[in-house]
Amino acid sequence: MTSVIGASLRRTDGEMKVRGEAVYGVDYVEAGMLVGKLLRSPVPAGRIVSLDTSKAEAMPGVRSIATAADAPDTLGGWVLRDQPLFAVDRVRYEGEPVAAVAAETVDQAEAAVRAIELTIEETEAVADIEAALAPHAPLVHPDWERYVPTAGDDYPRGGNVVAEMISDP
Amino acid sequence: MTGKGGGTAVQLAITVNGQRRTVEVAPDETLLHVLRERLGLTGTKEGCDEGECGACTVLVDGRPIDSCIMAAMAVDGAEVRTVEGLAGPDGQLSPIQEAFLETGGVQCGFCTPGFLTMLTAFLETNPSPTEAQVREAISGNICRCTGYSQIIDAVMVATAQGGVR
Repeated sequence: MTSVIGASLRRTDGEMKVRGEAVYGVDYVEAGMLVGKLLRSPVPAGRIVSLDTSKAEAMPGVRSIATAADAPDTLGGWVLRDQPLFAVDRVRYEGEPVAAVAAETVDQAEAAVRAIELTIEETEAVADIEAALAPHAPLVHPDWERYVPTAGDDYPRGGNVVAEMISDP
Repeated sequence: MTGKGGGTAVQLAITVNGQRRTVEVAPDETLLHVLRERLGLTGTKEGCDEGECGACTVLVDGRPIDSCIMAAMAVDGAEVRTVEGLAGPDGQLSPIQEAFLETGGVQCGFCTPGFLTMLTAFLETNPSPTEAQVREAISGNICRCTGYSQIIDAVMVATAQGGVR
């Protein structure tokens, strides 16, 4: 039997890629397909003072707009379920999804995202290890006690949890 | 994607991969948008959408351009060649396409169409490049898998085999 170990093998998807025939997510089209766009937090930390999607919902081509109000208790995450689908009451990082628009075209979805009225009261961001461990550091996750670890209950708990990666020079 | 256009539609006549095409486009629509959204040629990719990454490179009258920042109407009457038009009429891969497979120049493949079109134009003007010239030629194309060495190897393999058709 011929072994493939040590042999130089071609990728099985290589040919469709060099021909430009590989279908990526952005290339996929289906009849009647809607386009989704996210409204993301413009600041790294803050309190959501108001979020009003009514004007955006009335815009042409807009089929649906979802926010945390539609899924307030849905938490995702790999090691710890600590990530809400959409920001609930506060934002924890710049770019955190606040709302999602489904519309008939990209233009319409982008226009609707711009029409969502979001007011955020910016708060102090915890941007590095020193800030996270400071005596009265704001908690990035005040609700940490209700989060569920997915791989046993020995996950380190208590206030801000920080880690740093150091490369060997 | 920007450049999907607005305003009164105008008629664009171009030859794409040897086929004459006439399409209604918006005056400010990009060539990339016409290729992907109107002609269904999705091999050409949108990366940065600002002319920095080279993923959208196509050949206009043989010259490589970033189609994401090229107004479609500016190429009215031109011959456009995309990654879908690099293989021969019989479907046979060009030497540079073949070499990408041989050396592992393809990983996720998102940058591949841009590299292939750029290198096709480059090898037509310089069939026996040095490695330094190849590096220079692909300096406007970004591979986020960082597979540059294999891409440069591919050019060397392709040129040893006689370059592009």
